[in-house]
Formats: sequence, structure tokens, C-alpha cells
Amino acid sequence: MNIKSLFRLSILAISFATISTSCKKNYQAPPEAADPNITANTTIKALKARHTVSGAFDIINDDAIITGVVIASDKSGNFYKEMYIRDATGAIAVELAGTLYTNYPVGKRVFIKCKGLCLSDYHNLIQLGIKSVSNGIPTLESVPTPLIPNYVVGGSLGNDASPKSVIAADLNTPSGSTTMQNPLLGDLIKLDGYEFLIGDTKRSYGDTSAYKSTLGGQINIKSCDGSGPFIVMTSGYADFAAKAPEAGNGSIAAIYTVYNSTKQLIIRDTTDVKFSGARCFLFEEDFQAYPTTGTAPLAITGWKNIQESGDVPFTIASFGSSVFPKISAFSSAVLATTNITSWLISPGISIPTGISPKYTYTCANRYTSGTLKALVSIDYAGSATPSTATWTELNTIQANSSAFTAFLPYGPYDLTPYAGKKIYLAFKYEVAAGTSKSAAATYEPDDMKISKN
Amino acid sequence: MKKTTLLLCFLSVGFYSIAQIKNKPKKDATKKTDSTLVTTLEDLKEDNAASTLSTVSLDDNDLGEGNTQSVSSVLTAGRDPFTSAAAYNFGVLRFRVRGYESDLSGTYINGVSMDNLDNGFTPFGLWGGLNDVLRNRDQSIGLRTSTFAFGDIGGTSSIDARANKQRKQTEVGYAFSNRNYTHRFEITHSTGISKKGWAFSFSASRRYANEGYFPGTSYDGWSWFAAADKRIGQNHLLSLVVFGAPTKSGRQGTAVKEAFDLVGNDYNPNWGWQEGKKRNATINRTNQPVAIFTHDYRINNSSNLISAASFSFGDRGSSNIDWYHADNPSPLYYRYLPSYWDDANIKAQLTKEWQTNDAVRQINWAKLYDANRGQTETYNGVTGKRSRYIQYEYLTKTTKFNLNTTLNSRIGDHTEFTAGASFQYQKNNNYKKIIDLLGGDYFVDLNQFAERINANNQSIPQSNLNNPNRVVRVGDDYGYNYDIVIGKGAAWAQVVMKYNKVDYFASLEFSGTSFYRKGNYKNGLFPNNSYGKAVRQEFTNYAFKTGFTYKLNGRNYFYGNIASLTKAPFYDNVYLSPRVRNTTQEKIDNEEIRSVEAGYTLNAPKIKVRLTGYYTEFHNQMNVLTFFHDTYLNLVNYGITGINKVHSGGELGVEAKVLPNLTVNGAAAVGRYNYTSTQNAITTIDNDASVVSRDVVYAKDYYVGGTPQEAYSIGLSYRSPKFWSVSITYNYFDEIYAEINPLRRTAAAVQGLTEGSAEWHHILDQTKLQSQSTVDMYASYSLKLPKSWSINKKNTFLAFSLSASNLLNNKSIIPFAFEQLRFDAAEFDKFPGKYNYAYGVNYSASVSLRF
Repeated sequence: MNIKSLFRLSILAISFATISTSCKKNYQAPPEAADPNITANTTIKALKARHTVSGAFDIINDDAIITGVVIASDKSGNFYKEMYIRDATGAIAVELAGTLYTNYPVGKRVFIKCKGLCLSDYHNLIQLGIKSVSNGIPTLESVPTPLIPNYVVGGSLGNDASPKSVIAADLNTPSGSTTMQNPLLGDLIKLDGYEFLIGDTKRSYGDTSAYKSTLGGQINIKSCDGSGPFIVMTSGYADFAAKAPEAGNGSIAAIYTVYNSTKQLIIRDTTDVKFSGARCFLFEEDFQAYPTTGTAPLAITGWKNIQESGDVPFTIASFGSSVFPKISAFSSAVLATTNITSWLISPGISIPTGISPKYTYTCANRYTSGTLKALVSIDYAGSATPSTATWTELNTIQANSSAFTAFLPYGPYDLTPYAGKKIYLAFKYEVAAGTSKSAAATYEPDDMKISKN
Repeated sequence: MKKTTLLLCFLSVGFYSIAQIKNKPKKDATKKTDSTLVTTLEDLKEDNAASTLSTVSLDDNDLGEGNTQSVSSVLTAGRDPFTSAAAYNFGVLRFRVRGYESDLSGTYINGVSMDNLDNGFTPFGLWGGLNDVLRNRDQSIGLRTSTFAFGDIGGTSSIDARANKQRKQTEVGYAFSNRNYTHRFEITHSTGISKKGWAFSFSASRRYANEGYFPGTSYDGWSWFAAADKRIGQNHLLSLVVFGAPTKSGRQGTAVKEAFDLVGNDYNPNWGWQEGKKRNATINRTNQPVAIFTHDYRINNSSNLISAASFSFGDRGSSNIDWYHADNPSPLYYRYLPSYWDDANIKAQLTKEWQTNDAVRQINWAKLYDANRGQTETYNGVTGKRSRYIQYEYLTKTTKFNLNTTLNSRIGDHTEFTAGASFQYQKNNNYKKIIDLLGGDYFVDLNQFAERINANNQSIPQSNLNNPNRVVRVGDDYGYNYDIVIGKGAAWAQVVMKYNKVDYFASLEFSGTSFYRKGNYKNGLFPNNSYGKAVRQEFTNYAFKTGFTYKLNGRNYFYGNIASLTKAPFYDNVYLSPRVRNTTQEKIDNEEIRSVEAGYTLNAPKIKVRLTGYYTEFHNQMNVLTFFHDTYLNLVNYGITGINKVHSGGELGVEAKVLPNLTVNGAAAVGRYNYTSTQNAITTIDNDASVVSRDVVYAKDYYVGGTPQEAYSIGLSYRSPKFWSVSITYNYFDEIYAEINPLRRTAAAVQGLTEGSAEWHHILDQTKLQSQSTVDMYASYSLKLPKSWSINKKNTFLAFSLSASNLLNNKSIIPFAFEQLRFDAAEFDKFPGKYNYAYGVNYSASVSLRF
């Protein structure tokens, strides 16, 4: 190739490059979130007031516009196709299909153009959604994802979405209002000084079995002054459904809802539960967390279930919704010739100094021959022959009833002498050899508690 | 039955033609009777522009490999009347010659195979836009012999792109089109061979469109080519060519019928508005330069040895949107469509939105940005806006080299001997890469589907246990990362014996193939078989073919060929889920192919006819299908084995000069491509090691989809002595079927349904697509400029051409369709099939200057 042709070629190449203009595409990012130029013309409270008959479908035909800040969304999966917004007058559940937390995170202001939407209620909890008739049956549906922008316009981020501090009494329907119109319903509230029932602390928040209960898991909170219990409801699809709840005492933030007249709290995720303080009682065991065992022995981590003499173990039984240890020598194979001595011994419990703790428990019993003693020890070391330790007797129940007694309360028994020590609480069951089977006593001790004062 | 009659008609036409020829004087008879039927593009070049047709090759329509394989290029068509019709006219419906898969045809450039070892496809995109310098082609058709390779049963072509084979000239061209690009500029300069034995050739082209035929599609391609030859003495020619075609294109997507009905047949779900611009989520990108070094050694007057080495590297990728715990970004998600809803009011509202609102029927980019910027989170020590949506690219980085040597030798007067050996190596590194965080600051590399398995086990959702809970940003790989390493060695020999009346040949090839997967991530679900090298899979294969040509005279040829071969499976039909683990199909087999063809060729000056019948059996094919399954809520892999097929049919091509300048062309391809076995499917889930189910797929007698089983064309071509030409062609396609979803042909799919009921038929019957017809035209005019206009005092030509297709503006052509793999037995209409439509009227007009 000679110089001339090389020259010509480069001229061509340059002109070629010039005409071939680049068409590289640069995309400008859409603008950041900001409040739109929309003004609300009614309040959430006023909107909710339009829905007066439970179960009715009230289609909104006027140009009502509400605005509110998202206080709960579906990030953890505990809410599904639903978010809650509130303004100064109240809060409401807004039913929208799809994933919501992405575009409607907590703290985002939204404007809802309600015309064409529908107000109804789920067992008294008012919801704003869209009416759908399928096979002649009307339901309140979540607004289909592609239609949401026609009704819901997003605004600024980071608005105040902090919970409202309330006490138990505030949750009640104010006089002159209906359950449905209770202004706190749907709002994010905070209760202080609460804890989960002791049995519930050993469960998980939700039902995580393959067949997730649509109602979700129910666990309960109460306060030390006896308020509650209130149901804390969790969906099996929540990402924290399998988690065990925090066992201490403290504050809980939740959306306050209702099912007919039953109060229910729904947390957004576990950071709403700040139960890191000390519980109301030094020690509690209600045995609610354990499955019944039939004739098999009770086996709870930390507890001892010992047949020092004979063949009668404590089992776990239930009656109604109550779960408890149970012991009876009725099925013993050796009762005719052997004294029955069986123990149920708690894990070690440290008693702090400077307080005057008191021990209470309940027990039901039936039949006539045998005793159940409540004992306390400071030197029991886990031996299979507990009698070798030193036990102080707090109470003896002599069975003497042809029918089951109620769960009778026992105590309080002062544990102040054990301040600064680790104690073991025991139930000792004794039936003498030769007692007729049908006379052998049955005991069902339950609800062991050590109060702080 | 009707079709058989039609084929018989063609046959009788063929024989009638023969009779006609016989009665004519033999003045024009070709002199030699030992001519073989290999057609070359050398011939084509001698013709005027009409033969080369549009310089826009069909290749350009598909950057993505494999889609228009059968029509490897208009330029391969040669002068075989059937092959040219198949190439020029049948492409619109993705016609595949004999219904063969793309891996059954091959392409060589300068003596080395260009086919991918991973899937057997020819990566035409690698040289897209370089038509000017890739025109010299040899093609072997069907089971015939070639001088450069054993050959694939679907045909093999060889491109000679060496510098000395390029015509000494400079060509500058421009084309304007409404297809996938709007403008194309190209320039080619070739020096011819100098006295010192040097030859050079350069070519470059630029193709682009801000918006192609379909809304939201775009094109941005550059191509470059450089070649140098050095002749050393009389017997050695050293050649080097390097070329590349870096290209980006925004793609058209497939959609369901409901969406097309609402939006129109031009609907493309892949794009959406972003601040006033149309942005396409699916961008295909490729940049894989190739270098080929060739040594052509003339050993003596009767022997020639061509050896070549090639090296290629680079990557290709396709982008899309990934999401994590967020709404499906596709407007086509079934819950977004009116049909999902029962309520009349909701249906009406959605229908209106779909008919009018681009924010609903296209990708809503603003919503994705909004979601990504909505919340600041701290994850694994990084605080920022955590993206819920990202644009990613799944890409393949390829390194490939080939060595090939071929000896052609003439022994005595009657024997031609050809032998060759080759070694090929290819390594593909596959992974996902983030290309846009869409307003967020980071993304987390977790498998959201695996999170459902056990919320308390933090290791299961990890894409890579060696680097858990990884915060990833633009440019980072994530999701999966694995290599496939493939090696293949082959040796072949062929003997052709030519006698006065009969030619015979026999060819034999032996090859060995091995491949393995190497995982670069230790997947949280499969910690024990995802990381590191998997067991090497090894296969030995043979291929044999033999045939004869009976030469009645210089015009009438009868031929018959048979072939029997085995083929190693491709890796993606062996590994059930190569993204995450090494698990393979339980039974890994070579595929067996037996094929026979017989035909008649008439090669007279005024009429050319080729009539061929073929019958091909495939045994033991394997396939792996992957999709999201509704019941398992997970990516599911179906490993299918024991796929047998029969492809049989006839091909007819006629080209008759009815007047000195007027030619009539006719072509017909009538085939029946059927599955002939019950197949076995094993189902595995990407997120579970166990086999979920084993099914028998009752696929027998279903049609092979993806190509029309019948295609016809008839055309008129007028060529004026005054250097212009015009041609018009009518094409008709029928017996087009959607590819079957094997899941719908299992006992489980029809469990509980009454045999013969509407539902039963709905699930089992194969979707047959409408027959289609198109009219295409082509016109060209070539002008020799007056001396005063000449450039460099050389003869200077100005050529114009216009190619227009689908002149009837038939907008209901479905080029291919498949039953959607995601299938809900309880609600079988929930996931209807997806497809797209072909172009309506489309054209390319070009002008070029040659000097």
C-alpha cells in the first residue's frame, strides 16, 4: 500500500467517523420524592365516619382527598397487601396489592384520591380499598398494582411516624363512639411496662408450619399491674414469624386493631418490641409452652423429673386452655409393694438481696391417699436421690376430694431468708405402698411465681 | 393429505421440466459431465447486484445468536434455487432448513470452524456488518461433501475472507432502513496483491438506530476488519485477519395475546419512559474480536494443505431487571392484566390503563427508582439506600482457540482425497453483573427464593458462602459465577471417486469431546457440589456418510446420500442447573442421528431444478428447561431425556428463464418434523437437592415447533441489460406450531380431567399458528459514472438498491411461539403462551460508490 492510498484511506476513515454520530444514551434519574401539589379536603376521621354499618360497602363517589403518613407497611411480611396511614385525626388501613414498603415506606406522606374507592371493615376494622364482585359476592379488595397510581400519590419521605404512647384504658372504645369508630384503631400505639406471658416467651411469634394459619400466631402481653392480656397477632409469612419473642419487660409499639370486639396488636417487626428490662416476677412457670405428654414423663430443659421410689413420673396434661404437670399413681405397677416418691424440681433460681420475694402456685387435686409437698432447697445438686439434699417444707396438700378441685391458690410463702442464694423449688409426691390404685391421689400443680415483693 | 398432493404437483412440475429440457436442442449443454454441484460465491460476484440482493443481510436482524441460523446469510445462498429461496424469502418465519436445530449447520472462516462449542451455534453477530469482506463463500448442502470439513448434516459454509480474495477497490456505502437499525455507513478498501506478494483489506461499518422498527428498540453497532496476506514464493500464502463487531441493541420482547390485543401488535414490553426518553431494559451487547492466522501451502500440483489457527475472546451479555422483595417489574406479570380480575369495574379500569397508559403497559422506571431511594438501610456494615431493583447483565466471557489443518489431494484421474484434523478449546465464564443500581447505593447478593426455605438459616440464601452477605455495586458479579471448559479434537478423511457416469464418496470422522463445569461460587444451598471443578464429561463420537451422483448427462443428475453419526450432548443439556451446582442428568448419552437424502438436479441454461427428499432420525436427545414454577415457588429445572424425532420431507427449487431477461423462481419445502418417543423428565428445584418428581412426557407425535413445516415461494425477476433489475416474490407458510411444554404432556397435567373434555384438549392439544403469506420485492440499479466523475481515474460505479419485505403489511405474523413453561394445572390459562410479531412493511434502501 502506497502513501497516497493510505492518505486517501485515512481521509475516508475520518469522514466516516464524523458522519457516524454517536447515539449513546444517558438517562437522567427521575426526581427525588417530594410532596405533590395536592391538598387534602377531608380528614381520615371524617372519611371513616362515613362507614357506619359493619359489613357494608360504602363507595366514595365524591372527590374526597385525604393525606397521611405511612405508619406501617409490608416490609417484614406481617402485613400483606395493606398499609396504615394516619393524620392528626386518626388512622386507616389502606388495601393495595403488591409490595408496598418499597414505594410506601414508613414515614412517607401519601395523598389518596378516594373517588371510586370503597370503605368497608374487616370485623370492625375500617379499611379503604376497592370493591370487587366475584361470582356475585362483593368483597373489599386491594387496589390492583397498576391502578394504585390513579388513587395514591406519593409524597415526601421521612415524616414523623412515631408511635402514640397510650395506656391500656385508652384502647377502650370512648363513650359515645362505636367500636368501629374508635379513633385509635389502625394507629401506631406504644404501651409501656408490658411483657409476654411467660409461656408465650417460649413460643415463636407466628405459626411457621407448612400450613400457616391465616389468622397467624397469637401471643399475649400483660403488664405488671395486671393490665391485659392483649393479643399480639403475627402472620406466618412475617419474616420474624419463627423468632422467639423477647422475654423481658418494656415497651411495645404496634398497630392497634380489633376483631369484632377483641383487641389485637400487630407489630411491624421485632424492633417494635423493646422488652429488655426485668420481668414483673423473679420467676414464673405456667407450663403453657409445652406439649402434653400423655403417659410419657414430663421433660423440660433444666427441670428434674425423678422417681426416687416407684414408677410414677410427672407428665404434662391439659384442661381447657390450661397446660400443667400432672402426677397420679393410678397406673403404677408397683404400688402394692413400694412407696411412691416422685419429684419435680425447678432449675436453680437466684434470689437477689434487698427484696422480700414471695412464692405462690396453684394446684388441683383429686382422690384421697397421698400428699404433694412444696419444698425449697439451697443445696440440691442435681442428685437422682433428692432426699439426700436439705429441703424446707413450704406447704403440704393432702388430697381429699372425690372430684377434681379447682386450681386453688397456695402461698404466698416468704423467700426472704434465701436472699443472695440460689434456690430449687420442688413438688414431692408421696403415696404409701399398699394404697389401692383407685384411692391414689392425682395432683396438677401450675402457675409457679416468685414475686419481687 | 392436501400437502402431499401439493408436493406431488411440484414433483410432476419437476419431471415435466425435465421432459421439456430433453426435447430442446443441446446447444447450451454444459460441456463437462464431471462438474460437482458445489456453488460458490465467486459465481455470484460475476453477476450483477441482483444476486447479492440487499446488502443488509438477515444476520443483522439477530445479534442474539441462533435465532436465524437456518438463514445463515443471504450471501450463503449461492445459486441453488432452493437454498436461495430459503435464505432470501423464508427468514421472516424463522424457517429452518429441514427443521434442523441450529447446531446442525456450521460456518468456517479462513479454514477454521467459527461454531460455538457450548451450543453448536454459529455466532453470526461476531461479524455482523462486515458483509463486504465476507462474500466469498463455499457451501455444502445437506449430506454432500465439501473440501474443508466433514460437514454438518444441515449444511456447512466456508467463508474466504483473505485479503487477496477481496476485489481491488474502495467501496463506500450508506443504507437507510426501518428494521432494527436506521442508518448504516460502511467503507471497505482492498489493495489486491502487490508484486511483492502483499495484500491488504480493511473494512468498517457503523449501524445505529435511536429507535428501530418496534417501539423502544435501539441499535448501536460498530464493525471493523483488517486483513493482510503475504505470498512467499509460489507455494506459501500466509494470511492474517482480525475483526470485531461491538454491538449493543435494545430488544423487542415477547408478550401474551391479551397484551397484544390491548396495545397492538407492535407492543414491546421491554421499554419504559424515563424522564422523557424511552429506556429499554433488555440490551444485548456483544464484543468478541476474532483473529485468524492461515497458512495455505501448495505442496504440489495435486495437493494443497491449509492450516489455520484462530483466537477469539470477549464477552456478550443481555441485560434485564432483577429485584429483591419487591413487585415484579414486568408489565406482563399476570396479576397486572385485566384477565386476572373477575370484577367488571376493575377489569374495565385496567383495560383502559392498558390501552392508554405507558406507565402501566411499559416498564415504570420512576417506580423502580422511587423504590430504591425510599429507605436507608445498614447492611453488613454499609449504610445507604439499598436497591430493590437493579439492572443487571448476564454475561458470558469467552476465550476460544481453534487449530485446524486440511489436506486436499488429487490421486490419479478419478480420486480426490481430503483429510483434516482439528483441535478446539473454549472457556466460558458465566455470571451476572450489576450495570445500574437505579438510584440506590448498593445491592445485597442474596437468593430471595432460598430465604423461604428456612428463615433462621443465614447460610442458605447465600450466593457465595466464600463471601457471604456481600454488598455489591455496579460492575460487581453476583448471583452465580461459573466456568464451562470445553475441548474437542477431531480427525476426518474423505474419498471422492469421479467417473464418467457416477461419482461416489465416503467420509468418516472421529472426534472426542470433553467438558466440565467449574463453580466460582460456593452456593449456600449446595455447599458440597457447587464450588470447584465438576467431574469431566467425556464423549467419543463418529460420523460417517457416503453417497453417489448419477450423471445422466451434463444437465440431469440423480443423487443419493446417507449418513450415520453420533453427537456429544451440549453442556447446557447435561447440567441441570449449571448456575448453582454440578448436578447432571442421570443418564448422559450421545445423540444418534441417521439421515438419508435422494434427489434430482437439473442444471440447464434456461432452467435449474433441484428436487430432494430426506428422512432423518434423531435418537437420545437431551434437553434442560428452566423456569419459575408456581407450586414450588421456585426456579425449576426439567431434565428431559430420550427425545427422539423424525424429520422428513421434500425440497423443490426451480429457476426458469422464461424470457431472456425474465426469470421465474419457485421453491417449496414440505416437511414433517415430529417427536417419536415418550420422553422422561426429572424435575429438580434450584433451591433443593432432591429430585421432586419423575414424569413420563407423552410427547410422541407432537410437532417440533419453532419453524414452519411448510414454506412455498414463487417469484419473478427481471434483469434489464441497462443495469437495473427488479424482482418480486410471494411466500406462503403453513403448518406452524408452538413448541410444546413437556409439562403439559404428563399424566399429572390432566389428572382428574375427563378424557376428551374441553379442558383436557386445552392442555394437551398443540397450538397451531395461523398460516401466513408475505410479498417481498427487490430493485437495484447500477450506474457507471462518466469519466469526468471518476475517482482516481478508475472506473467508478454508483449502485442503488431497495429491498422491501412484507409489502402487504401483514402485521399478524408470529415468527415463533412457545407454550409458556410456567404452567398451573389448576388454572391452566393463568400462564398463556408468549410470542411476538414480525415486522410489517420493512425496507432497506442503500447506495454505494465503488472505485
